[in-house]
Parts: sequence; structure tokens; C-alpha cells
Amino acid sequence: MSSHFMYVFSAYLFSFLALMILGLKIYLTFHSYKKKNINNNF
Amino acid sequence: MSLFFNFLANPSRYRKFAENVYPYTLLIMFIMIILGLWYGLYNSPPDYQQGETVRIMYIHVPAAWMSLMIYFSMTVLSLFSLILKHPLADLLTKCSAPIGATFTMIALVTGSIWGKPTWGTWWVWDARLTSVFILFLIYLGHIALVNVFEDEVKGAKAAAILTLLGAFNLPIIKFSVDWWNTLHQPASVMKIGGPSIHIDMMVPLIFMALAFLFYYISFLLINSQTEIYKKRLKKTYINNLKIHKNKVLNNSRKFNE
Repeated sequence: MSSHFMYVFSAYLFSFLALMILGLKIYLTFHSYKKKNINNNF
Repeated sequence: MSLFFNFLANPSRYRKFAENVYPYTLLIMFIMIILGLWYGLYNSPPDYQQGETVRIMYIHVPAAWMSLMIYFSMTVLSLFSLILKHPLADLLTKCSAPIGATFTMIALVTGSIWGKPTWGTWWVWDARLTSVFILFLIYLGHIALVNVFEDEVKGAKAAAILTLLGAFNLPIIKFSVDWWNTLHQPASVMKIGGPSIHIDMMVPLIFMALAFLFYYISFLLINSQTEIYKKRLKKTYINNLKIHKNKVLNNSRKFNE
């Protein structure tokens, strides 16, 4: 049972980390470009 | 529908639309993730054969659905781009590829983690696993191809052709479990005759699928805004260069006079 827990835990951890990293990357890039555009008087 | 597409063809109008919509899709995504985790990890029974590892299916299966759905939408968008030359189609295809690649990677890795306790092996080169791995490589190829050209239009055209060529892989992935003897089990949800899994397992699967779908929509809307901002910055930079060049030319002319 405990080994099964490790498989489930690692699968969920990997998936949510991957989605979080991609999401953060997209969101932070978006914010930096939005800021640059505001500074360029759009 | 065509009126809606025409409305969104203007990048400024599309950006405003995306800016207004994405907070709501993010909210729906968070609600669906909480419900999916609650049902998937706590409020659903273990499988009589797979035991607790069945819970991996609640992320593996929706991730695999998303990898196919995103590629299918990229195929349709590539057709739009090549035939109708819709300005938004290239943009959305480019922004979809990293999200699709991530979902494919999640499907491959979680499937592998599930395979070890269930099949006794991390990986086999059976038709389903291999075809999904090829899909992952096509996604990576698309991302590389879009960025490799200096001319954005050429890059988008080459990537659209690659997407259309790669679309032959979609029916192979879907029907590989029926056409060949694979270790991977046949479809148990999307099949003729309806799903063959219990409602208690169906509920977390649907919540997670909706969470992943809204993740895709949300980050597609955010990513496409970034691309529009990038294009605007490039345009301003080129305009500023032209103005600067004209000033320098005028000054040198005055100096010569």
C-alpha cells in the first residue's frame, strides 16, 4: 500500500509541478511584456 | 460563428477580449482542480485490481485527451492559417504547442509511473505508447520550427505544414489499441456503447478533464496576449529606428548645406 502511495504521489506531484512551471512562465512573460508595452505608451 | 471570427481578426479587439475573459476561465479551472482532487484522491474507491494506483488515471487520461484535443485544434487552426490566412490562426497555433507538449509529457510520465506497479515495467514500445511519444516529438518539432525562421510568416507557414503532416498520427493514436495487440488497454470511456467505468470513477475523471481544458483555454488566452504585445513592441522598435534614421539623415544634410 505504501509503495502505491509513492507512485500516486509522484505522478500527481510531477503533473502539477509541470503545469505550474509552464503556467508561471507564461504568466510572468505576459506581465513583463505588458509592462514594457505600457512603458512604450500604448 | 464567422462573425465572431471576423470580430477577433483584429489583434487589439482580440487582446481586449482575452484580457476580459481569462480571469473567469482561471477561476473555473481552480474550482475544477479542487473538485477533481477531492473526488480523485479522497471521494472515490480504489480499483479491485489496480488498488490505489487507479488514482493516477484521473490525471493520465485527461492529460492524454488534452494532448489529442490540442493537436486537433492546432490542425484546424493550421488549415485556417493556410487557406483563409486568418491572422489569429498562426498566433493561436504557436501558443497552443507548448501547452500541448506539456500535456503529452504528463500523459507519458504518469502512464509510465502507473505502468510500473501494474504491468511491471516503466515502458514498452507498443503501438499506443510509441505513437504518443511521436506526438510529443511533433509538438517539440513545431515549437522549434516556429522559432527557427527569422521571418515569422515563413516560420508559421512551415509549422502549419508540419502540423498538417503530423495529423496522420491522431487516428493512429486513437485506434492503435484496436488495430494492434497492445499492452495498453482499449478505450473504456470514449467508445461505442458508452463508458464501461463506474460513475464514482467517472466523476473525478470529468472534473480533471474540465480543469485541464480550462487550463488550456486560460493560458492560451494569456500566451496569445504576450505574442500580440511582442509584435507591437517590434513594430514600435522598427518605427523608432526609422525616425532616428531620418533625423540623422536630416542633420547630416543640414550640416552639408
